Amino acid sequence: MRPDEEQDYVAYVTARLPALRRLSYYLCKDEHRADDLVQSTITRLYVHWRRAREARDLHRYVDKMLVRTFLNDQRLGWWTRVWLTDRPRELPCPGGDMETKVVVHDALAQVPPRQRVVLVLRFLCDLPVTEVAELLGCSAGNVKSQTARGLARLRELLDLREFTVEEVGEHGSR
Amino acid sequence: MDRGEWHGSTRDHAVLGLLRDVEPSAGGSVDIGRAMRAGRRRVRRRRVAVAVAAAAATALAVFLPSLPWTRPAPPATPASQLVQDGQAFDAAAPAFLVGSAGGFTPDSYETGRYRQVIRLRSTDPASRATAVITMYAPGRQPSLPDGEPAPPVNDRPARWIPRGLAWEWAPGAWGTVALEDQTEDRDRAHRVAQSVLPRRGAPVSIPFTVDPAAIGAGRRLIGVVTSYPNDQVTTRVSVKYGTHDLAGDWIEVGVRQPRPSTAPNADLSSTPAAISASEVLLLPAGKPYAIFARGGDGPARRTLATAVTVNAGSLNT
Repeated sequence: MRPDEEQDYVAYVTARLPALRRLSYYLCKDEHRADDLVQSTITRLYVHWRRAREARDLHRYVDKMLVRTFLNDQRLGWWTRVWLTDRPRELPCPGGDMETKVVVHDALAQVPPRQRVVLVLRFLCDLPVTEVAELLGCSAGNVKSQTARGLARLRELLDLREFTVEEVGEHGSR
Repeated sequence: MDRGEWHGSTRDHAVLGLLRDVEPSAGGSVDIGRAMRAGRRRVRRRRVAVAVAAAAATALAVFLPSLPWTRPAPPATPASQLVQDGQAFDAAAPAFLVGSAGGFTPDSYETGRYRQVIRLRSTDPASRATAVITMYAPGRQPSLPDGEPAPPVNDRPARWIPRGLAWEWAPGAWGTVALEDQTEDRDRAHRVAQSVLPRRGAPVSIPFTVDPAAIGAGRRLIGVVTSYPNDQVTTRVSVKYGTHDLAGDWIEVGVRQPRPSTAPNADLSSTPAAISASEVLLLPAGKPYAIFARGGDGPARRTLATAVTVNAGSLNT
């Protein structure tokens, strides 16, 4: 890569890093995995920077890259992956209604990965169904059904924690 | 956003909206410099690999024909050695080697005496396109294809069929390629067919045993289903039992990767289980595999699933 291209890359990644870390954190169960995902994504972005720069919407291109990296990672190595359990809970959201947010994030982390991606893209990144479908390479109908299933699972998980949706609404509506 | 598209209530939106102002802690371990160094290494490796491949291809093209020790590739296994008694494959061993071609790669292989089925998936992770190759033992194809002639496949006669191709892989023995969820793409179908070579494989290694008493009267092994390794990990191995090879009364039992979303809804022989109308899935605590049984009736599925003993040493657990 030429020096001027590297400068562009560094400037872009520096500016987008907070947004990428936030998106990654929504998708992953903890901050360490979220950071690993961002690290993998920006490494891939470096390799494909010339092609990426020609994309019609660079932000969308990079978000797509991150989501794909996340979904690919979910598919790999299930016999061999080692999961550490009983880790201390991470509290990445100081201030505000911290406990409520941790509970919701925990529940979201337990929603199956593809449904989680759809919920995050639709409700936290505010993407319309058609764009989520394009980003995931599936039909709009599939996105809608994944949304419905993901929301059902999320409600179920919150109920299991004896945490009602009404309480969340009262405490944390923006 | 069109709220009608949401499929979620305002309440759902409010719940998830809570996370909008969540910020991962400052700093973190993301390092742009490290990404650039890793990216440079990756680019260099790619360039070297491309250069080596190009040089090797050139060298081979120039020198290979003249080398005295050059031998042609091992020939395909003659059909007479692939079939027993002239008309059946080994029920536990693959009889064909299938490569990636036409944008597809093998996903699973189902052996059988009279037909062997290879399911393919797209090499593009974003695509859901699939294809199925069905290879029949001599004389076992349901009907002879009568479509228009197609270019030969590995020098064997071929004919077009709806959404695919049929070819006579050995005298009197036909195979088909069907592209699913696709419009007609003859070129892709033909390339997939070209990637199928008759080549006897070793019997599939089964990482579990089944108590014979649980298999059911009159049933015998009719096939083995195995997923192709994905990053060197095989995610599914199962055996199928039936009273007849091509009959619909089969029952299947095996081990596979449990989906994270699967939640147990019952207990079977003190093991958490997810039981649905079509499947019994045992989820042994602390194990990275699930035992499943499909086909047959409910009681038979339960009996068979609980009769499996996984050989711990054969799985990388």
